[in-house]
Amino acid sequence: MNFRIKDMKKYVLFLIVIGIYSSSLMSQNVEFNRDNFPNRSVLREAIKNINSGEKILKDEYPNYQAAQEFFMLAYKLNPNNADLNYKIGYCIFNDKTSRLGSLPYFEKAYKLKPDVALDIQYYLAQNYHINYEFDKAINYYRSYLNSLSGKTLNDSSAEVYKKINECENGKILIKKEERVFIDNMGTEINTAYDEYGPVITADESVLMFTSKRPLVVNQRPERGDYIENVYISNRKDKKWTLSENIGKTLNTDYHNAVKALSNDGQQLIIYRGDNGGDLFLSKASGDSWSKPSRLPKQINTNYHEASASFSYDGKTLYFVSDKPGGLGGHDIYQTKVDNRGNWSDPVNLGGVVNTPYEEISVFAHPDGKSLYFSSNGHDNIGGYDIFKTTFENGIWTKPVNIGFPINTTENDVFFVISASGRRAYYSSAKDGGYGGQDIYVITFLGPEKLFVMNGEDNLLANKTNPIKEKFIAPAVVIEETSLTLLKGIVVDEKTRNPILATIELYDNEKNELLASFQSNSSTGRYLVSLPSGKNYGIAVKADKYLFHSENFILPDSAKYQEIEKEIALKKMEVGQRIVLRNIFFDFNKSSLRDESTTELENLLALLKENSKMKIEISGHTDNVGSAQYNKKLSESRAQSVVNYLKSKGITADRLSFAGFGFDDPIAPNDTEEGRQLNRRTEFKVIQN
Amino acid sequence: MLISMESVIAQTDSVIVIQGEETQVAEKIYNEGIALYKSQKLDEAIQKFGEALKEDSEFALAYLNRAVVFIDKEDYNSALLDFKSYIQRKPNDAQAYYLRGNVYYAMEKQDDALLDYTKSIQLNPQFDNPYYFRGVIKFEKEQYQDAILDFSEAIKINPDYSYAYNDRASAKKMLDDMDGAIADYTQAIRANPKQAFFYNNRGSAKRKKGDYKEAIADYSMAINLNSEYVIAYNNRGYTYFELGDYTNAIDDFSKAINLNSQYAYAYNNRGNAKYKIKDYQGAIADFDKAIALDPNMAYTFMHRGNAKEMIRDVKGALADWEKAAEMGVEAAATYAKKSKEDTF
Repeated sequence: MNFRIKDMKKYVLFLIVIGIYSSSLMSQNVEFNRDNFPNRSVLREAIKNINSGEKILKDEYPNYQAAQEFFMLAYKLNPNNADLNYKIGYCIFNDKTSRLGSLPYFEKAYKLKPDVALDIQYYLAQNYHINYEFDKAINYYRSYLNSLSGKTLNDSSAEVYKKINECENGKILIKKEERVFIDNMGTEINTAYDEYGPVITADESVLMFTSKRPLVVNQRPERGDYIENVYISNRKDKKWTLSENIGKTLNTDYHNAVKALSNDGQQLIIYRGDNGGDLFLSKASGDSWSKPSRLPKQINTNYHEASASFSYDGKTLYFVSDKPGGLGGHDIYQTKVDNRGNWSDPVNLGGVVNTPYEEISVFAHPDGKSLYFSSNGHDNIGGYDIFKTTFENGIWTKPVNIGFPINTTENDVFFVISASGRRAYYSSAKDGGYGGQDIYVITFLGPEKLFVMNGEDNLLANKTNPIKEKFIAPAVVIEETSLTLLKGIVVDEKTRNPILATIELYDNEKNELLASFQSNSSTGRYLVSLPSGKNYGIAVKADKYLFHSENFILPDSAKYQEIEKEIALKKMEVGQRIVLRNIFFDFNKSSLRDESTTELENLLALLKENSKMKIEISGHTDNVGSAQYNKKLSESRAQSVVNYLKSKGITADRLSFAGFGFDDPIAPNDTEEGRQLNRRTEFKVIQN
Repeated sequence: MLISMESVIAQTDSVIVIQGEETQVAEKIYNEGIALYKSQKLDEAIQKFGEALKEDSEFALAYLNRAVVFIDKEDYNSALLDFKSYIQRKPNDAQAYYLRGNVYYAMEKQDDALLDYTKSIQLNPQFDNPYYFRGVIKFEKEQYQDAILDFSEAIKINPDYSYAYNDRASAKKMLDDMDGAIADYTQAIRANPKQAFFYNNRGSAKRKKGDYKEAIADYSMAINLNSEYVIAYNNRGYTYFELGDYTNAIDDFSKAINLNSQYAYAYNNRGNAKYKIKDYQGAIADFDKAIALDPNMAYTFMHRGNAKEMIRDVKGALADWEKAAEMGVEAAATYAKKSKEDTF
């Protein structure tokens, strides 16, 4: 066949035209019309479905899933309609169950018709943002802004610039992945419904949270949602018990959400929707909880009080409110309670912590200085992120984002961390849970572990065997929280029954009562958090018992430790002896140090309250030094205590003193620990 | 010994002095001995030298060369006896002391070797080899500054003494003078560009300095010259590891292992790289292998503990950290302590 060049050109041109035509067909928007769908009834059905979906979207609280179902029916007929793809994407995204599922639809809609909706690029950007494709997201955010003008631009630019900023933050945060395990807490805690807002005791022995699960099987939700209730689980044998409803005292017929639990688990704060959203306090009474009482007007306003947390000493309450006068949206406030139970006027934490955006939840760590909160301001990477700030030298430090993957591009809100700092708990609606929001436990693995490489070289030319590189690995330092958790049971020394006792915590150097707690009346359990850097005196008191004395001197550098200590209280009976652990003397001297004042005052109060009581103060030493020397020193020390009490009005006939030297040890003298225990002052009830 | 003894034979060969008739006969036999040695007939050569000495018991060269043959046979005691006989007759022969020094060195009698090298230097201060080997001994005794001095003397005498440059570089490396080391390795390369280990050594100095890309180039050069250079693959992998290029690191460690399946170091290193790409099971398998090959690799126990922690084997991790701690790894002791403290 003869093929001339002229024919060739025509043929090629023909092919090109066919090519352009068919590719345009493939990315062509297909409208719902008779030309494309000649079958009238099929077309009518599709349009009806679309209209039904659109009607649902006009509701005040649209049921996005229902609308999507209608749209999908039309989609079956025509998957290549830009507007329909957009609508489906819109439903999936706003339903919030799994927003990324909207992306293919938005992408298709955009491809079919780039101007299908004013905000199509915004939805695309948000999808990429959620999916950590930050550069793509930034491009679409910018492109979206460029497509706007006038009022729409004015209204939208702040929000979009913020999102661009979040993406920039995200790019930085992703690079420094925190070493953590994040585990779903499992079916003991989570269900197919929402579980969120976890709170814990400082030692992680109790977990409480809010759940919107049905109370009975087959219960129907009201108005689209179940009621919020408080649930509780205990840590036993290294496992969490099956969570259970905390009971009717706290869980009324309306919504009840738990917001805070004190370190010792003896007080909690409930949120109820009353009055715009208020906080209520309930105290443990043995096995049960007191009827929640509304926190006073200083705290609860007509506005939304949404979150709260106790400080380690129970004397400060941090809480969140959107009342006017703040820095914008919800802010974090603090209020202090005095010895008579009166709360001070709340103070906004200020512009370092609070932003014009939302600070929506707060948690005060038992170390007495760290505060964790969630905010969608600061350098968040999307939605709410969790931040940490520390109170140092009278001011709050610049909040730090606690990092990826704890913080995600979606909402990371309710975060609490154990006293040890080893684990934290939070809730998330991320994929892979049991349904809705679930509670997760984060285990902090600390800095990257040390790895040593082995190398060797032919350092000496005439030697066949290489010579190994010498390397001595450095020691590693692992940061810890700086506090001591003291916990245990208060019992009667003889009967071993648990006692409801008051545990007073003193700063011996300042002679100041720091806090006062109570043990649980049923279990006798107590827990006290002691931030490092103080000389602590502890007095455990109960009616008709002699007070029990403990001392903890914790330097600033003292690392995290948990001390389990049973406190056996002795009845006020003749012959009972109490060691006074907070009486201090200068070395080799008998003059009382100022740090002894609080203990002496407690002893004085005991004698004043029990006017018939007569006591003997005795001094004791370890076995270092001569018997004579130690006898003399211990006697003059006992005398110093007696002299103090006399000077405060206790008559001489009620007081006697003796020095026993090292004749009466209570511990072996062959260790420093034992010797320290033996160096003590005691009092004995001589008459009651 | 890398320095050839042949040169000695060749030298002595050229200084034969013809004395009397007895000497002529002895010489003839002696020359036969030389010829036999050159044909690798060591025992016959020794016999010939013995016969020459029977003819003329003062034929010193025969003692010297017979000693050299004994060295080749690694019969060091016999060599020592012959050196003694030679030196009695020729007490000012620097080379003899040097050669005897090498024998002492081979017998791991470092101090005796040192004495002989020093004597040799005293007799002939322009003799490079004894300076070199004295430097080597000082290096082995970790007297690096003194070693450098000796290597420098050898280099002064012989500016192309590549081994002396190499070893001086290594001594500088041991003193953390990486720049000095690199400069000297470079001189060694200049003097002998085909020696693979010069490149390897220079690569390691660069790696220690943090010049990772340059280090890799040197190791690659070493490998080019010797495609079975196991430690260079290991070192190059190590450098990729430092760069965070774990894929290439694993590749190189695997190559080292393919060449030497007993190379415990490479298993440890490959395990570390696998950990970094989160292949924890793979890492553990490599650590298992390293430990099986060398149960004294304390750090490898720690590494295995680190990997076990990531697969939630808390007990296993603790056991490994405790083992490493027992063997003196402080960091592992800290990890074990933290693990035990958490009774949650």
